[in-house]
Amino acid sequence: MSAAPVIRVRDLDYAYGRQPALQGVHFDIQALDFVSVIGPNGGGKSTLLKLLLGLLSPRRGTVEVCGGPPSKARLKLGYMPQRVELDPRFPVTVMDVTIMGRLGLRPTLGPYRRRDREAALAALEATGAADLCARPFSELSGGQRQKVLIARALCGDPEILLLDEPTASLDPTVQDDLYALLNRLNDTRTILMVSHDVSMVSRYVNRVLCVNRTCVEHCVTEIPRELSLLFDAREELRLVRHDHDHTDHPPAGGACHD
Amino acid sequence: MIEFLEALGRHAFLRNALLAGALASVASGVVGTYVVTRRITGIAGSLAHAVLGGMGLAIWLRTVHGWAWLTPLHGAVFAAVLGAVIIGAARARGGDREDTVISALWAVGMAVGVLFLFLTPGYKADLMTYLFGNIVMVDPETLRLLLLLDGVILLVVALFYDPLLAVCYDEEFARLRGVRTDAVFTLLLLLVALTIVTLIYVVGVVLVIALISLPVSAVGRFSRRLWQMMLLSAALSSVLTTAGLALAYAADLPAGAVTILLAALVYVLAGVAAALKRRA
Repeated sequence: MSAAPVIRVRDLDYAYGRQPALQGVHFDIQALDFVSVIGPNGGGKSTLLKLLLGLLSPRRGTVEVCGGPPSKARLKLGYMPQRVELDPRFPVTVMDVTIMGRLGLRPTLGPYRRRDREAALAALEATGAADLCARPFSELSGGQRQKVLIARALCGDPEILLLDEPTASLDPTVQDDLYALLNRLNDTRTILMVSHDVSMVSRYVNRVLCVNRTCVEHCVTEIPRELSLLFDAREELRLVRHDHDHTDHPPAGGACHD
Repeated sequence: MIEFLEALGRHAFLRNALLAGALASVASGVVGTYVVTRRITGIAGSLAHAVLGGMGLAIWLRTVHGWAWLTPLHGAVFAAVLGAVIIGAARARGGDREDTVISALWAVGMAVGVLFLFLTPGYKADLMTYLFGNIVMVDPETLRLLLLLDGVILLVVALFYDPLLAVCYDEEFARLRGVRTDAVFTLLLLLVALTIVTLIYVVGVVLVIALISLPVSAVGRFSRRLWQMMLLSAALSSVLTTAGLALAYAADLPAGAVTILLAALVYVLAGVAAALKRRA
């Protein structure tokens, strides 16, 4: 691919105090990539996301988003945090939450305009949550909440979606729905998603970054048809090679290895 | 009750007190909704007590050093704004020291207040007034001040409703959408400070904290939107201050303390009602 990458990370180090969280992270993400960021808990996945958002600043190295520093590109990003961080007793409806995605695209003073409400509703329709619009956010099920938070990330019409564990603690059928939705969104948007499970993700994503202090890219290769028949798979299977040693440092550059 | 209504017709001070209670309820209902949902009752308590320091200092300067132009209200506003800015800066700089700053402000404010009132001859008895206020002593000028406060609060909330909600609900997300969250949060703290200063003048430090948290929490269990919570808590506060005044008048008790206990009772009953509703 010859176009400039939408996200460019070079020799990135980050530490909380003296505790290194990320070391020598180095990768490019191209427009319309669907990237899954996997790795163990505490491995630095969310930290990486926060660095891409400009919520944290690197100790060393550079992060570029859409050709500039992350803080300048924020309105081009749609971010979905882990929902555990939100106060369940706060009196807000689904619409109240979704329309927050329109902040920054409107004047600071005064209420949201009709344009904002229409965009929020369209985003809820895209994620299949439009009928929940007037419900209190706290009364929703886990899957419904994820859909609303994705709609919130969407309604600012971002070029890149950054999702922090969008499928955490969802049952498999709801997860399937959500991945199908993300797959559709990927037609027009770059998606970078933190996820626990490799198995589900591998069907849709075209790249996998494994973050465990260091960052290693895994190849996603399609399994030959004959082999997938052995697994009795209804859909196309993909293989994510995950054969590096987590205790070792990756080879220089952290490029695709096997 | 009829006795109270008759007295209301006879005494202007009771009518003023009733009006002061209603006006204070608008401010405490609206600002209290932010304080409760954003979980900053600690900050509100801290600012309320920091105000004592400013008042004490102003009274001392006025009495002992003859700064006749300086009223306790000036000192209170100064202390509250200073406190809000200090807490806002402590938050913006991050780290886990925010709650230490809040507690320190609380303690230091009270200590400064007590010290300067001790150094000022003839002011010892007044500390109780600042703690519990005296709603039956409200004059027309104070009522105008309350009306002005309500106007300022409603105007700011009307202009900043959406960013304020976003910052209270999900500050990180708001920042990512380009909202200047530290500025918006400091604006909220200034609103809290302004409300506390004015209400202390009318109802005292302790009742301010009660009004800002108890009715709001009570209606919070039954509100689906932030503005509903504001409306309902302002209405409930008005009922509580009126009932408190009537009860205090009938039984010849201090109005502030009676109102606080009524508010606490309603808060507990609302909790019980919500628990029963959940079980049903």
